[in-house]
Amino acid sequence: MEQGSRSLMIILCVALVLGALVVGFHPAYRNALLSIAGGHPEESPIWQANRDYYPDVSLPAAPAAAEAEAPAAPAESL
Amino acid sequence: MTQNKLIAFCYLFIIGIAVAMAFPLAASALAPLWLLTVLLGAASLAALALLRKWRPPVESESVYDAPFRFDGLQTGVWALVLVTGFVFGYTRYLAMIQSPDRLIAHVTVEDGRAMMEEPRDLGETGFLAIRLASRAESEIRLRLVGETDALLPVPDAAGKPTLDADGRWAFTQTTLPQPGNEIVIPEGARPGTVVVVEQPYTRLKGIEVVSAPARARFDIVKPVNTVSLFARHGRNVVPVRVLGRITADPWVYSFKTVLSITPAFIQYQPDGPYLPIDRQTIRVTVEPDLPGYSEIARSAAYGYDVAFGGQLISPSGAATAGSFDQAKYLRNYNIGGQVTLKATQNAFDVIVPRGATAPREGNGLVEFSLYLRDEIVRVIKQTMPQPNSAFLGALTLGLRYGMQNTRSIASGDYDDATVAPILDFGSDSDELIADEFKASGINHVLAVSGLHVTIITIMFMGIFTLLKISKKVYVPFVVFALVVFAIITGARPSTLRAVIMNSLFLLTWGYMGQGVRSSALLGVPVAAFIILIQNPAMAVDPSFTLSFGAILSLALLTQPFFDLFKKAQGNDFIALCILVAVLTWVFAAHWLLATTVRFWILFAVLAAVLFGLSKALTKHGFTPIGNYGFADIPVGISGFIAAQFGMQIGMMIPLSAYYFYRWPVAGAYANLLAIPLVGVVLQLSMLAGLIGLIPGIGIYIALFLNAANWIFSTGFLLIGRYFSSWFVYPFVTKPTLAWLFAYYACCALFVWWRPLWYRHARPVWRRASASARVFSVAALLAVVLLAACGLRAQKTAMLDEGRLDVAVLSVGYGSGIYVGTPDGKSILIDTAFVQTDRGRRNDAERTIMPFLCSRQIKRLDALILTSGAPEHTAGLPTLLEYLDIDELLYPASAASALDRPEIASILTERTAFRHHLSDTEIPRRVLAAGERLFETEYDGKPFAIEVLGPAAGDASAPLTLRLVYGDASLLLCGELTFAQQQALLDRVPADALASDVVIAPAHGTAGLDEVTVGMPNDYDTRLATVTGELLKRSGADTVIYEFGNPRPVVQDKYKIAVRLHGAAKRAAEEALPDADILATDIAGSITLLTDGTAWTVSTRFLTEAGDTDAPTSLEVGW
Repeated sequence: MEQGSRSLMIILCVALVLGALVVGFHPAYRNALLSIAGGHPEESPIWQANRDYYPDVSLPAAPAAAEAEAPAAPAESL
Repeated sequence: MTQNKLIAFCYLFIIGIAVAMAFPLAASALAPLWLLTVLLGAASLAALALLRKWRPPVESESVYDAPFRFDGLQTGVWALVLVTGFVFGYTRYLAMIQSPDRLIAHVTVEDGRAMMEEPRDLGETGFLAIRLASRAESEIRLRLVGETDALLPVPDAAGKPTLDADGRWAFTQTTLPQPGNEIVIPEGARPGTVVVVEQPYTRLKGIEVVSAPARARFDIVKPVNTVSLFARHGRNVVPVRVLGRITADPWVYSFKTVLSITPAFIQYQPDGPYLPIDRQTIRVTVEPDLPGYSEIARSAAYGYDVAFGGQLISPSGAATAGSFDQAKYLRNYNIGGQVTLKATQNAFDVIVPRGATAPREGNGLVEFSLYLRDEIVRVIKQTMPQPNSAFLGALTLGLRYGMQNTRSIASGDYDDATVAPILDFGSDSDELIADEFKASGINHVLAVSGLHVTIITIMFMGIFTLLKISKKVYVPFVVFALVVFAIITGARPSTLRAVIMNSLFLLTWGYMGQGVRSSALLGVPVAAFIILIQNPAMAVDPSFTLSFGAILSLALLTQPFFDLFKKAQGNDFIALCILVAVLTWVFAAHWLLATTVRFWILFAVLAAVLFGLSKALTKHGFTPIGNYGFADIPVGISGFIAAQFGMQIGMMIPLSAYYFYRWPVAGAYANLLAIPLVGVVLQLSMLAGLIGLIPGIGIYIALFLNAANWIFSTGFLLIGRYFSSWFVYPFVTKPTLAWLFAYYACCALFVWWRPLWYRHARPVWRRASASARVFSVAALLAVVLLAACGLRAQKTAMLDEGRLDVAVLSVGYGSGIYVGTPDGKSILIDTAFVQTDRGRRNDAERTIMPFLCSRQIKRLDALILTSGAPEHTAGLPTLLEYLDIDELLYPASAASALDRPEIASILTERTAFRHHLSDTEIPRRVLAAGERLFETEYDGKPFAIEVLGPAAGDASAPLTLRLVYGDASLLLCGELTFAQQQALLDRVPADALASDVVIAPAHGTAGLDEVTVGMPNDYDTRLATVTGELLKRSGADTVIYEFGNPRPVVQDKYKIAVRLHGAAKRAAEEALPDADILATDIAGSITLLTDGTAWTVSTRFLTEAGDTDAPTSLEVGW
């Protein structure tokens, strides 16, 4: 168990460092950080990329977008 | 020993369920079986208590080489426990499938008068049924007279049904007389025949006999009000009104939402009373244009009370042997009917209880879990771009529905995305990520299972350990977290299994000091028992079987394979690596070679040569890697490889072939990368999701964590992308149950050969005389030989030698016909259509290949294309990729279709040298009138496929074929236009067209190409004079139309195509008034069998299957 918790800490630390690099160098992540920090998370490019993904899950105080979007193509059936 | 008995009890419980599935008794056996179960259970507990007192456990019992000693008491208790488990399993399944119909009265009819015992109370309002106790010597006509307590909802101001403050539906009750409609029981009906009286009764008063034989006996029973009692097929469907409650998390797709609604009341007849419902749920598909859609397309809708109207459809079974059986799938999940709600046809209301301001909520724990899930989805949406977010949602939260239309990371969809992929992976793929995962064998990560639960368990344990909290304190919290996780992810069998097992482990580890290994073998059967006692039908559900197969493979096969592989050292290890490399090349580059016997013989020779060479070189001291071997690889890696190998042998190969007719060969390799990577992705995702919930700083940490995870999850998506393109996803023949039994018997021998040999066989062997030893070996060989012969005979029986077997497959608006000749040849005529727009549907893949696999056919003697039209040829690339085809035959008019790039490239590839090796080249030949194919004679009856058209030199007409076997014949008209039908009539003598069965021309839509607007005025005349004449000349007893939804093929002309088809069927009825007119859209696949004298025609469906919303593969879980 000690080993498990050590692995978890290592993963966490490495991920934070790697994540900082990605946020620092990738414009979309950088803009996402700035949007959230600026209090406008809805302007984040990441949030916008997920516009059609579970549209019922919206940002606090923002209306759900389910009705606004036209449905995509139907699924393949078995 | 008690633990072993508990394990055996659980397995016998499962075997009892399996036997009940195969040989169910009648409902009347239920009561005695329950009594027997209780008595056996009590006896078992008493016997176990006595045994514990008289025979304390001894150490030597687990030692392999301890000789076996017979102990009467132990054996008796074992037998009692096993019988109890078996009877309990049998009874539990029977109780699920047999609705305990309530006997209301025995009735005897004598001289036109019915004598009924004092009828018992019906209990609740519902239908009645008459169950014959004696044969109906003549037609019986009677009426059941009674009363109905009619319930009608109390409407609100808007006319909607209302709920009282306690959440009960408000009704007004009126007692009405129920005079009963006339019930007709046909003459000759046998005892046991049941006739359902579809009228509601609350009390039965009497019986009026209209006409009856001199004496008749029957029972009146009250069926349980299940949903399926009110669901209907095809044209028999009637609209119903339902008052119920959403009792599961809504499945929200991007284009629909699927609700599981438990009905409280159903109104079966318009303006009729509402009837209470006791069992089953309704699968309701809601289309996004329904008003108020957004209110129910979300997790919060769980628990809502709803009222709606719609057609309650009984789900259909498989339209073709081997295809997906929707009815069975839904039955396993206790779903009795399906409803699809559309804006133009249906109303759907969420009902708020009187005095409340919001709809009712569901179970508090579930509500909390779903709330938590939505919060984590919100974090994912803020911190991870598409398509990775869809993958993460599916992986972490079981939200597979969100991945339904998510395209590959190498698709052009992301060229203009707001967050571009890390690197440019190209835009050439049109695949869905879900399909890539399936083809690369890593789809199992989306089925939330032991991998996820174990990672989460370890993660939580790690967090608590870091915080220095005692395990006795934190174990309950981790168990609670696992329960919440199971609810969040949909509580599917694989998740429940893992949660139960991990919880058992945590509890025994935390409070009883036991280790992981001892809990694994106990945890598997106990978890299975807990799941199956709640729903025994799950025993054959793929998600259950695959999950338990996987964990048992890991637990039982990993160590034996590790022990086997570690013997490979030095030169032997090099030989083993070379063999693995050869196998990998064949799997990746030339799958068809791997399906030939010659390859495996060559492979065995190569193995013998390599290991022989290894021995010789070692003997001469040439050992370039010394004694390095499998055992020297770091144990984490070597153990993982052995576990993966065990998983393939124990679960993937046999069960994937059995359920899906496919084996993701890439999985054996892709999982070596995917499983370690998914551990990282899942942990980071869970941490990000949970930390992101912390107000303030949480979302920033989550952003950093998921920024890193963006790279790791992209790596995972690339594994799916590349392994699915490097390896084929081949079809394999479906093993029979006997094959599976033999296969697992071999696996069991491999796992337990030591205790079997050392403890049981060797002591006997040592004492035996020489003659007894010879006899034993001979007997063993005889058993093996008999088993092999039995399995072989089973396969031979499938070929049905001496019969001509024709199956007209249900492939929508297209053609796919299987012909099994009397001398055992397999021929396929046409390859069906492939729909690429508006959702994908490849009937070659979903219908034809499963059908062939279910018949254990992996090689075709010929593939015949009758036309170049896409509904005949679009599936050709699929079939060429997966099947060994001896010959490709087609008319001159179809030659251009073979030049299409996707077909031409495969045909060219089939000329490569490696196809010489495997003998899988495909010779092609153009057919013309006058040829006779596959001529043979069986039992004095000649068989041939006659080519009637096109005439030599005609490069536009399709093939017209006639199958003749003895006195039986079948005419296959193909895609003939009116002009071509007329030319055939002019050219071919009448006796050459004479056939018992005709497969009608052009799906019954001949002339569609010429139609511009509306039905041509002279269409009926042309049908009568041309097609009608063709049918008359054939003199057929049966006319078959290959038909289905024409929209994907003919696009905007689909409405007129349906009208033309209707007209064609009417013309056929006029031309051949005595013939059976069948169509594959109504009857499903049609099978025709003849021994050369007459045809036997059978259809998959007796009535038209309803147009229901089929579960997606992501919903089913594969």
